[in-house]
Amino acid sequence: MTNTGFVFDVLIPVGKIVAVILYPMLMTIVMIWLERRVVALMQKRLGPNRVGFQGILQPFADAFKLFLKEDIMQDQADPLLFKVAPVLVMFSSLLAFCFVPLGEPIRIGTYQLTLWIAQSPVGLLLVLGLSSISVFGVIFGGWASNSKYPLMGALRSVVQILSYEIPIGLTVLSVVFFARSIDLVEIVNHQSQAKIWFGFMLPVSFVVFWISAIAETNRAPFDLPEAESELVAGYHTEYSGMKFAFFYIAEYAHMVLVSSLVVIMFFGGWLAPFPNVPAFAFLKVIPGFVWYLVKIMFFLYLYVWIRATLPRYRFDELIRLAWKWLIPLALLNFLVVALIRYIL
Amino acid sequence: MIAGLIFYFFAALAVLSSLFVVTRKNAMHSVMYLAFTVLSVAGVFFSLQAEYLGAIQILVYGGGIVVLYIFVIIIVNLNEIKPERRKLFPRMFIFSLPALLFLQIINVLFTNRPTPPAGPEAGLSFTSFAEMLFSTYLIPFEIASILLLAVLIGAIIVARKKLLHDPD
Repeated sequence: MTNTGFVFDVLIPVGKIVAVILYPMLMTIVMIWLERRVVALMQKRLGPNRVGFQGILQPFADAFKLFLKEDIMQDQADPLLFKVAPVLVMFSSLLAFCFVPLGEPIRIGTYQLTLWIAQSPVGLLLVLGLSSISVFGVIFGGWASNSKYPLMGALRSVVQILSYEIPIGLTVLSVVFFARSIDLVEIVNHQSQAKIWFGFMLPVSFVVFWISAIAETNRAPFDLPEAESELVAGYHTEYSGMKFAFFYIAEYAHMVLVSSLVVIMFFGGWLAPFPNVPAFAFLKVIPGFVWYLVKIMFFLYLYVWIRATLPRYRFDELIRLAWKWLIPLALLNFLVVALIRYIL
Repeated sequence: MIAGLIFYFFAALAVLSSLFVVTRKNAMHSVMYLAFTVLSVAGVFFSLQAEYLGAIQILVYGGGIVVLYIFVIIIVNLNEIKPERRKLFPRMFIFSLPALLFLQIINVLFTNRPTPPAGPEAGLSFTSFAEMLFSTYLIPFEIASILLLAVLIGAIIVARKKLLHDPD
């Protein structure tokens, strides 16, 4: 008896914590490979294909190289903030994953294994809050480098993230209106009961959220804070070795987090597609986390696809897009959704 | 037991980092400790099972207000601001107000301890909080929002005036 108690009370929670730390890292490795290969193939190049099968070991080689690199901090930098910045970025990205449900609870005998660490009644707010905290690391890093380009990159990122948080908040509200909950697990459960995903019910919310999410993660075509043709590498120009790797991993972890949010809020999380069609009922045999992975891989691929397709925005155009298009659209959408919800 | 330990951990962290906020000479370091303070206060809220307050603390204070502080510090040239010598009366005022507040807190802590009212259940509090805000306390809520709107419009007008006098 005591043995099983030890397994359920200690081993499984610890295993979950380790999994939550490893999961974004593994996804980062997959994403780096996917991004380099896919962008290369889209541009009629080959991309890394030498290390391992189809170059799948290339990200490991890159990571190994970063481990061995010398850690440089220039004399002019502010030592405290320079060291704290990458930690803050990493901390906020990893902590948010505690609240992301990866699949339906799995029943093992009498024990129910939940595929999330914490189910909070305000999970959605927490994830959004934690992901907005990562901007601290970006600004501190840019400022502490005490150099022109990182400072410009940091300033741009503050303006960008503050602007795009508003449409994100407004579109999230419209989802919350229908789910009547800001608990991420409840939002998925509600979609399972309603037999329709919110993405099809609220297409405008989804589109506005997705555009703003790309801007919030500093990805192309909104990667102004790290535009290499203007700002060398933006806020992490002066970083090297593992500190640089922290920024890099955190950016990819943030992409995975945002994709998870999109999947959970708009595309049914771990639910199998076509719940209404009896012919597709066999799809429910496949476990929930596989569906979740398939869905987030689609959105991560979409990130890469968009990056390879669209040219970068100019900075004033970026801000104009947020304040003159996305925010009014989100407000209007919010009003319409609220009216529909009131009538129903 | 563990919840109590977590509470004291975050409370101590909040006090420590807020002390650092006022003692650091470098404004950017102060802001970093302010961010730590905000996050540890959120931790205090979580350990008291006030999850909504904690989440809002992170979202509004962490993601919004502290970021704006940082923005202002980067934009404003801090070297131009020299510490001015204050006269005796303002200085007394500055020191006496927090001292009085501190005495009051000590007073409350050590004299009468009202037993805390039994709080509503964790899941219930969030909805009841929302209902209270939009029924019992609707008028203060609306007054606060009108005040905020007035401040917003005022800020825009002040900023525009400066812009109009700008020779560029």
